[in-house]
Amino acid sequence: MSRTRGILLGCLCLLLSCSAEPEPTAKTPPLEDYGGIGGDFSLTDQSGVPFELQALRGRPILLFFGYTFCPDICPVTLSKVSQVHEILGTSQQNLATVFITVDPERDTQDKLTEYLDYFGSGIIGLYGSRAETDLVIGQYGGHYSLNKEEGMIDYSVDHSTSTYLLDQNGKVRFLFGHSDDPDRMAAVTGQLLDGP
Amino acid sequence: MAVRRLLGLACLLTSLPLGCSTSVSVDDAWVREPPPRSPAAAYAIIENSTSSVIELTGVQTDVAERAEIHVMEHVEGIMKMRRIDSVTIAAGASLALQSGATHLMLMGLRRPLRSGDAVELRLQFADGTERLVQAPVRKGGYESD
Repeated sequence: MSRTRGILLGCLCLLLSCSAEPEPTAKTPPLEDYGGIGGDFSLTDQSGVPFELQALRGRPILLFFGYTFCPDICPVTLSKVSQVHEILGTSQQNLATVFITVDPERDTQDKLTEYLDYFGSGIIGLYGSRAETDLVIGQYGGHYSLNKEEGMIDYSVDHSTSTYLLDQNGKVRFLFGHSDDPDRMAAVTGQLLDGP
Repeated sequence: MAVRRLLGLACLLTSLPLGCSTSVSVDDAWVREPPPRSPAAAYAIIENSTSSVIELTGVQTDVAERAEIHVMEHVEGIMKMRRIDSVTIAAGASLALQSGATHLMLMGLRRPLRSGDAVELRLQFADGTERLVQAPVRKGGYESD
């Protein structure tokens, strides 16, 4: 082997060894087991059809409690979820989005439909009676509180801001906070899509 | 104080943008495009370059029946939102009206707001002065916060 060929071969090896190194990426937090919270529930969807969480078995789910009058947190969260779908290249068919209203008095079927359609098709909007809502949010370790006085229309609702990632078996596997960006949410969620 | 109030009135009557004082500025104002029949949140950065505390006491706009200052607090995983009467900005400091924190709420919208529209916001201060700003409406993805 000539000296020149040797140098070229050396460079090629160096190049290959460099390209084989993984790109530096932010560490993706592992999925977790939240045995104490979550579980199946029954509510009604925005079309008025009874809904069972069990019906989504086999699909990971991003689940969130909110209300349509919410001007800030809820639209931001739904926008982030839309971005997660874009990043992962998923549709609602393989990664479901579930929005449960904590304000069923104002969030009628029409209002829920109109609101969720704004963020994309296929988002499942759910409502229930006050007792049903209390049961489900309690089951997921969340809280809400109406800041409502007599006759008030424009009241706000304090509510949990976690977005729950459920796996294909309906188990809670991660809690995203308001400060989590879509890239991080997509990285964590992607572990469920890539898994066995 | 009377002079400052007169000055504020002069600003109002002449609708001078960003007022007669050069030391309080309102920048990067925008309105998050709201979903149908929902209220809208408005954001901006108010910079107080004066040597005195200033106090934002209200906001008015023709596009909404009511406009209020709201503050949000994240307490033990719960987001709490409350209307507040005013918010102070220390001398030399700035206030970012932003998502998840203090922001402006436009409620009872008189017309749908769509990306590309502009909303005129009239920010009112305790000294009687006002600032008129044109806030573009845009779709508020996460990156816009």
